[in-house]
Amino acid sequence: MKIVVCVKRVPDTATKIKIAADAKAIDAKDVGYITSPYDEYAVENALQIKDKNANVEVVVVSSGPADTESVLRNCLAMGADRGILLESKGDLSDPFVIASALSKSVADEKPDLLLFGIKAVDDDNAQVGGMLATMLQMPFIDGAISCAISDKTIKAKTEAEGGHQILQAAMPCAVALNKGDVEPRIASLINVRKARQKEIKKVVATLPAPSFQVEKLELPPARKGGKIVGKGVDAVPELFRLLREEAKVL
Amino acid sequence: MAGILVVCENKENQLRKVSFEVAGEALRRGKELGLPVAALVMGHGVKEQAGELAKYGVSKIYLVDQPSLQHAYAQPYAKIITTAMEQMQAGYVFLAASPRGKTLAGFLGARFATSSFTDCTNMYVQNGKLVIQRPIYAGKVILTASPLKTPVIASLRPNIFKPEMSQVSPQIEELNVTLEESLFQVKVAETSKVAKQKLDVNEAAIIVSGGRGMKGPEHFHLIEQLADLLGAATGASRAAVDAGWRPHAEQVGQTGKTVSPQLYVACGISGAIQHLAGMRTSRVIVAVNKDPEAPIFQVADYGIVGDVFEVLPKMIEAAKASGKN
Repeated sequence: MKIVVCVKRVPDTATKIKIAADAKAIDAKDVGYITSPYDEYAVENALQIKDKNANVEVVVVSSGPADTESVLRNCLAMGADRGILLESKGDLSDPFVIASALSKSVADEKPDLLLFGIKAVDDDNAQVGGMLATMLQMPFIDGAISCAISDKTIKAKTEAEGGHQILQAAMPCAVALNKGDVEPRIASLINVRKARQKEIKKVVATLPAPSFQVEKLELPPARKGGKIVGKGVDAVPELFRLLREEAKVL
Repeated sequence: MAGILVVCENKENQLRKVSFEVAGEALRRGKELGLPVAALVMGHGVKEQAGELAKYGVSKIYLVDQPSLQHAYAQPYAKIITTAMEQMQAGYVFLAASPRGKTLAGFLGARFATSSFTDCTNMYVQNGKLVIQRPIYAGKVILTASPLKTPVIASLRPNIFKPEMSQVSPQIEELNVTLEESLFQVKVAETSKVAKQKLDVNEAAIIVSGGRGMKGPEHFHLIEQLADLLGAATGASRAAVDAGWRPHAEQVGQTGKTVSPQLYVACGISGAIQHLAGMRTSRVIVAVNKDPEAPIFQVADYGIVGDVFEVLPKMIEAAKASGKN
């Protein structure tokens, strides 16, 4: 069976984001890039299925600029078998554009299971999974904290308001992974070296017209420096008075 | 005639508060754009709920009430929304930026070959066109965007938009939608019942959060107790979640949830950049931390420098006392 995992290159979450001079994009200078953390949960889940079942191939796919290759190499070092890089220079903040870019290559792979992270932590759209699943006419389960296969069925565990739900569907099926049950493995040095030899197919992606125009990017207004009400337990009555009378939130 | 369709969401036997907020924003923008607004209520046994919208100024309601929707997952709802959109020739569809709303928005985006706008926090009309603002990078940046395609699909963040309080007599139209078997490929195999429904951090008006400073899962009863007394949801920092002390559903921050409650109380949370991004749009922030240099104090409106294990019990006492007043 074949599992395709879609991953995205995103700025490191520890990055202090700066806005470019034209206010239409972020300032890419000094930005370090990582695999979007939720995508690593998807890769890890795919690898756990591969570990438990015979004849499972894991293919990682990403759309992005040429240096997205480092993100694919990271996934290959974790244990994925091969990668596909859809090179695109355009704006990848538009989820319909991304889903369209991915659709042909992913469809050609005919995956039994198609995995995503629940969202990429740059543009926070959380849309590509549901879109691509719809384009490929696959049932879609959103926000699973883990999934497993038995026979031709996928069972996915999701968090539902204080409890859990198990959703199931026949494969082929698409699932977007949330943080929760699986812990992404750290690639060993040997596997990092091995990953250099693994195949990454490069395809030039054709992108559809954008769905929106970026008017501007800006930093949120800075919060006014607050006040220290006091030290220790003695400050508590004053805090509650302020919350009641000044802030009026209690 | 084009219009704005509001997709309502229900929880147990009532419509979610966020649906009234979404309806309120649709009414305000609809007025500016000169467009009618209709709401869609769907599920099983939801007929009575639809009537609640009368208090919130929605004069046209589409209703789909079918037994097959009782345990249905997302796919059939997407088809119902599409049918209602066709019925009213909707140029806009507004949903709640809840897990379900986001899932449905993605389905609709693929169906109409456009991107949806996730988690919108502001909308305005400029030169007769809708402009949308939404946080990206978990709130580190605000994006202002103009849609280039129709329909415009947007999910609206809970707790941001105000409902319109106005009594109307809505016209309710039942829609007949054929839901074929292929829409039910995803089945609910199991649901674990919890003794107590937990308030979700996304929708709560008050959140009490704990971090590394809580020192272990056994101390989170203090967080829960204060949250209960304030009618708040419990939240957690990434450190507390990664240590296995709290479930990920409670995590606030860049790899968790981005929240905007009226009041956010951070206990033993130092304020990593990813956490601050996720809660900085809260209206009022309170921080309790023993380190006066902790970055959380730079965003907190009110801070107490002190040991959470001393301050929290005192806060619980104060919350009990104020509850009695």
